[in-house]
Amino acid sequence: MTEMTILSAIALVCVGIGAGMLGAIFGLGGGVFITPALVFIFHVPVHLAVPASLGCVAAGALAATPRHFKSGTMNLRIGVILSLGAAIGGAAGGYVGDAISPRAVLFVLSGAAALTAVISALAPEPHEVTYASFAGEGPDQWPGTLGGTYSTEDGSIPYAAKRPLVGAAIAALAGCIGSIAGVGGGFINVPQMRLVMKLPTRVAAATSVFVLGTTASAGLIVYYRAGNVSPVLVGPLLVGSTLGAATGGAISGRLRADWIHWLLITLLAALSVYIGWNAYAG
Amino acid sequence: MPGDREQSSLPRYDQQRRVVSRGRRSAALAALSWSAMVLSATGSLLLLGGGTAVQIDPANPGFKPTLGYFCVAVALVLVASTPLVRPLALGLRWLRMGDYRFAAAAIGVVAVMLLAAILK
Repeated sequence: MTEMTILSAIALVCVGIGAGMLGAIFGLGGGVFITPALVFIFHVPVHLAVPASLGCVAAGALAATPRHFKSGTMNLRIGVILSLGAAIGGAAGGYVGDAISPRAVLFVLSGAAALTAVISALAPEPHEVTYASFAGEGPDQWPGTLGGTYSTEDGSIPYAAKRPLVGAAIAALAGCIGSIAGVGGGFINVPQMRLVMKLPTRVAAATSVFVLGTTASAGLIVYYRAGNVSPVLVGPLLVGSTLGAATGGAISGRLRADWIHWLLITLLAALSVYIGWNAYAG
Repeated sequence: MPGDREQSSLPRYDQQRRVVSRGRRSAALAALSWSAMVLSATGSLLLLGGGTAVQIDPANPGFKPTLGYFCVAVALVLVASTPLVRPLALGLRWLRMGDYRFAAAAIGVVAVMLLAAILK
């Protein structure tokens, strides 16, 4: 697509809404759906599609932040520690993504979608443990520590992050891959926070939104300096992804969790095969 | 795990004030997000004004000095600068509280983002 008309702008807003909704429902940035849509449906060059997708991820993260922040599940200290790694990885990914061929970017995207599907299928569901001594406490963060409490229907649940440096290193890797492929990196960050840092799912998902914004912004800054940000693409997508993230966040609680889980795995596996095949076929 | 809280010598947050402050900050973030969306929509409409098709030039996709491009640019700056401004604000707040390790990490995030913006 080299020409943007009213109709194609409306189509881009719809892509943004769809990706923003799917991202909010599945707890991802939504970029994993935007880059392939731009490349394969709109025939946008890969080096323009990736930054546009990162812009949507950043906008979606910003739109989802107030909800998580207000609920008290977003731990800012853990978010900052992981963001340090994510910012380094995101910026490095921006430089790598700008240097490698579009075909290599598509292979990275295909790998990222496959990895997300595999991690989602294999990661075990964690157990939430309540402590009697924390009964009645509201959501809180403990100054000077990587711990806090959050509230559920059953009461207050305390948590404390383990292995923060390993977590930051993995966030750097996720940031790098995310920045190359135009996805946020939440597909690695959420499971690693659960499995490596031993955080509850709600805290991991909410804090991942904080990290997602950092990754996307770091990559976006690098791509902008390389002159690869097209406002004609970013404008309508940004509108759609903000609307989609707000709508998806509102309806996600009403959907059946097991359906969402398997729908995500199927969708990502199909996407991975499709992108990989197209990249291979040239 | 509950012991982690007792190990810290820093004072705990006042729960009542915390809820009010969280509500205020989340409202500010929501306002920022919707402002970016309105600016993007305005910019896109201006770019496409009067049904005129806009060319996407893969060789030169950067911002051009028109009002439409300016609106999208401001929206993008709002979205992309939040992860830069928030760690800065958090770092300064934690510095005042005496939470030095996390203040240093937050300032580190800002430094990396600024380096990414400066280095070619």
